[in-house]
Amino acid sequence: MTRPTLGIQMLDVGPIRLPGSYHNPATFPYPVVHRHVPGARVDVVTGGDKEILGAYIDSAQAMERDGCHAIATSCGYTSHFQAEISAAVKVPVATSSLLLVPFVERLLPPRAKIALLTFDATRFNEGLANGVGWSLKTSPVIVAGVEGTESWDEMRKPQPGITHAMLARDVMAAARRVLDAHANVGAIIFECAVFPIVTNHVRAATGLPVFDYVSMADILAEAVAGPAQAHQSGAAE
Amino acid sequence: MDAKSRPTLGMLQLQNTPIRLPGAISNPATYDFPVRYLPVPGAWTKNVVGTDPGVVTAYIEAARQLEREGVAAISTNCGFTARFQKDVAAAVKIPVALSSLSLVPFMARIIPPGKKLAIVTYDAKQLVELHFNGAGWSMKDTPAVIAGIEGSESWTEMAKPDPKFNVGMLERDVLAATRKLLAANPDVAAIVLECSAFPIVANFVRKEVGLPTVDFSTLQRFLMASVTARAGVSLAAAE
Repeated sequence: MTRPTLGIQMLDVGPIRLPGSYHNPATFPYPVVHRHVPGARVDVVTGGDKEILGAYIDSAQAMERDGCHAIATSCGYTSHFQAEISAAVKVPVATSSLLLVPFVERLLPPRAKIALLTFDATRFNEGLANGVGWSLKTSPVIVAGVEGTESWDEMRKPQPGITHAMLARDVMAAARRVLDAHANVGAIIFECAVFPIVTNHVRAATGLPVFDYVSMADILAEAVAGPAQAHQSGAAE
Repeated sequence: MDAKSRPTLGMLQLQNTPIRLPGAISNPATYDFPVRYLPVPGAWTKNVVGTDPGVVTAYIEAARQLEREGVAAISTNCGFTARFQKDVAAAVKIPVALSSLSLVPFMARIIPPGKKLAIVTYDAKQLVELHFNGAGWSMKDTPAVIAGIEGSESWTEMAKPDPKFNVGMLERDVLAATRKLLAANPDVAAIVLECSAFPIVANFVRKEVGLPTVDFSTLQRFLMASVTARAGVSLAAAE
């Protein structure tokens, strides 16, 4: 890898390669390498099992040896590994789109809320926020998940059978719950790395700024390689 | 202006003649989104850099004007406007990112614990806690080291109403400040370029020093990506 390359540590499940997917190399206007972390099943990682940290560290070190210039994971629930994975390599590491919360918070009017849409709100906790430097107690974040939906069921399978329509319906249902309960939501952040498939849909349907794993990967890639020809050019209308 | 049809960045500008070299944020060709530039009455390098509170009202008014015109997000062409971040963000409904100093907390998190973040600025002597707090962080809890190009030819030119600039001058001055900072702090792991002129030389600095580097244009691209449809991806759920 002579060109600066972003290494993406994948959950140990079949990739979802729909257009716009974070698992799809065509989503990125710069070189990316996806690599599975052995044993990183959805239930293990989202359940907060620290046993899997070693596999993430080994995988990150292997990707660095292979020439990756920056590393990200593909599950927001790895945020509590941020310090450990980052300490194990020299290249920049951005485990989770949750890293964007304090940053995005500042771009909004004071008292505006952020809708944080996640794979499973029942598994979301303070430790995930603390791992990337913020707290649910002080940041204006409203968490909603797709737990119990068809998308959630599919994402827990070894080969997820997600469709755009299914995911759009289920993520929008979570978004609507937040928007119906809170008048002053200023932005949406997706924790889940599968949700970028429906970023355009949710942005268009809510009229709100949406930040996701791809937004974060873009900063990482630009930091190590300079600006790419951005994929937002000639936007699909 | 077609701000309503295509998401447009509203950029609040100093009265100083903008620098429009390739890669400059005041050069519309730098971006693949439209930019609406609006000079802010009374805003000059001299009174925006530093801590003079006088000009904040003019920034607020200009931001409101751009929002009425229909821009999708607001930024500026001077990183020292970080001190206006809260007031301008409070005055409009669209997202506001005034300074690349806003990238500092994120960049500080993605480098190995114990390593430092370097900030290279227009004038290190005038960049203070007021600006950091505006951008959402504090020197007390973020291990950043700072160097500026104060005293250099680029610095002198940028303070003039009509700066006379070339790429070589800026490369030399920004690299000199960066190298000096890195020599004194060998544990720096990434760089944030504060000054809005520095994107012109960001690729050069990144290659010369070999460290991850972000700048004002990184911030503005990130901001606009949040409000712009990505190409090739469905807007609607195709049943």
